[in-house]
Amino acid sequence: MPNELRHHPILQAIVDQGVLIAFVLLVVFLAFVAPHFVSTANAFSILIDAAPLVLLALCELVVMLVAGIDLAVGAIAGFTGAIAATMMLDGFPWPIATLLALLAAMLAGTLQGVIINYLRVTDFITTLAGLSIFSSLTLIITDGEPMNINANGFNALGEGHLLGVPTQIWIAAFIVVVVALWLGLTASGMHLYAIGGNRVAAYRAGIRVRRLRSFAYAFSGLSAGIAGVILAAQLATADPNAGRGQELPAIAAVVIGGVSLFGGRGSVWGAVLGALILSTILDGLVLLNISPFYTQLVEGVVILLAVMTGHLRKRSSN
Amino acid sequence: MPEKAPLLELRNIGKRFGAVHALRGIDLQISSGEVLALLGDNGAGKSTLVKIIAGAHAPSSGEMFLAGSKVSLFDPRLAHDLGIETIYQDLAVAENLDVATNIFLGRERKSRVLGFLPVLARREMRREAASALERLAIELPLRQVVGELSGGQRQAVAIARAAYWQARLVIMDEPTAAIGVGEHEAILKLIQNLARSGVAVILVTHTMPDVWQVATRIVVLTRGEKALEGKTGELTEERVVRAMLVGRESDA
Repeated sequence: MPNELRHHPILQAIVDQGVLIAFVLLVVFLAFVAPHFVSTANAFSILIDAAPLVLLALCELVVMLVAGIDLAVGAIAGFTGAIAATMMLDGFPWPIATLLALLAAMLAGTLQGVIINYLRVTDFITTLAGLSIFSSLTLIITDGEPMNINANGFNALGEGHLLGVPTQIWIAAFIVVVVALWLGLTASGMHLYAIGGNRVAAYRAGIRVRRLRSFAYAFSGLSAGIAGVILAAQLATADPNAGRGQELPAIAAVVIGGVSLFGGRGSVWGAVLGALILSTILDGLVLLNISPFYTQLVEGVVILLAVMTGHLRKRSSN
Repeated sequence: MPEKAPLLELRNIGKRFGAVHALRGIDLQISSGEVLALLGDNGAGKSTLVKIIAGAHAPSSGEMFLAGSKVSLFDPRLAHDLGIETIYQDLAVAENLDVATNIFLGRERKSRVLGFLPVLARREMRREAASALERLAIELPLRQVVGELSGGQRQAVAIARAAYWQARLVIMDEPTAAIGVGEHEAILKLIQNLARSGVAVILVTHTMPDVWQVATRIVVLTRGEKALEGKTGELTEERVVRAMLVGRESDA
């Protein structure tokens, strides 16, 4: 019974108990030891930190399902913020600037997808080059200086509230739901799993493997772009370093959430939980007044623990 | 038995790879309900011939007729559409997906939510997969992930998939090679059921006892040429093996 459930795209979420239990234990632990941890303000603070990370984790989830990886998501996020900021500075209304910046992000992702799938350059190399190129483009666009953003409508995406909940939490939650429906209910979502499970079988079954894999990278670009918009709006600034290095926590989040690097396994809820665990740990370290020098040390240990317990779980279920 | 056009007819099929003649002057006919065993030593041209029929290779010369009309297959998807299914030895199935999903992979049933959003009709696909399995007398847990099935069960999934899609011709490459003794009989039975339901089966194999158990006709290829052809009942294993080793009897 648990095995039958485990791989059902939607129920897999619920069966990812290990991750869920880890998250609950973490919250309970911090509730006891960290001062002011249990409060609405702190919960929002964790979720606000988690919002862009969740979006970047969704990028990695979707490309990893087709056995890929995207190292450029942080760079594309920064690039998107910079494009939106310059366009607003040039007088474009903020909704148009935002949409065009997101389009640029999606094109960036598509370009990577096409290079990987049609020109057959390894995904690791292609997106490593993408990381370099888009980081550099961000520096060129911003001239290396933070760019102020004065459009209130744009900044509301990172500072505003809707029904008392910060806007970026709504945005991230909306994208999470859309991706969960995509992966769980549609043929193309299921085909991502099929490609990751057995690419040859998918091809022989008539699935357009290269096109769908390219689309996964296009989605990754778009979702990274939305993260970039949130990052810029939060600070009302396009920072030339925004998003820099964020591909690593994004990959960490999905790995913690049980997504396989070899394709075909992973769920939206796993990715979201992974991102929440990382954000909560970060928040806890701050509340416990632990030096930020320890942050990445703790993250590294958590990643290893997650992967090792994941192996144990898999072994015990077989 | 009334004479009618064979389901598939190959006339004078040849295939060259550069200077190498992989196949030469192959004539072949197969009718619905037949199990044709295609035998030959390694490198005899079996897999080249199978790939030509499956649309994965284009022949260099010769003609192919499907149900009496000339076809040129140059694309696996086209062969697919014409009702030719190939079950490869590596049994390409998506190990991380369940049985029903694999049977429908690439040709899913969908229903429309809110009138326009296409959503997988999982329940309908499971129901239809169940009845397809029942028709072939296959028992498989539909919700089980294929990676957790045995080799024989996976083979059954692949066969059910071909059968469900109303293949007219199923090509099977070494269907019993990766399968335990216990499941061997079940797969042979399944091949017979498939043929009995009106499907033409081409069986590529090295396992002689299988041939005499399920095949109605035998074709032996040797060095790219047809060395021997006959009804299973009229050939002895000795003649078949000799043809595989030395070629045409008149040459020997």
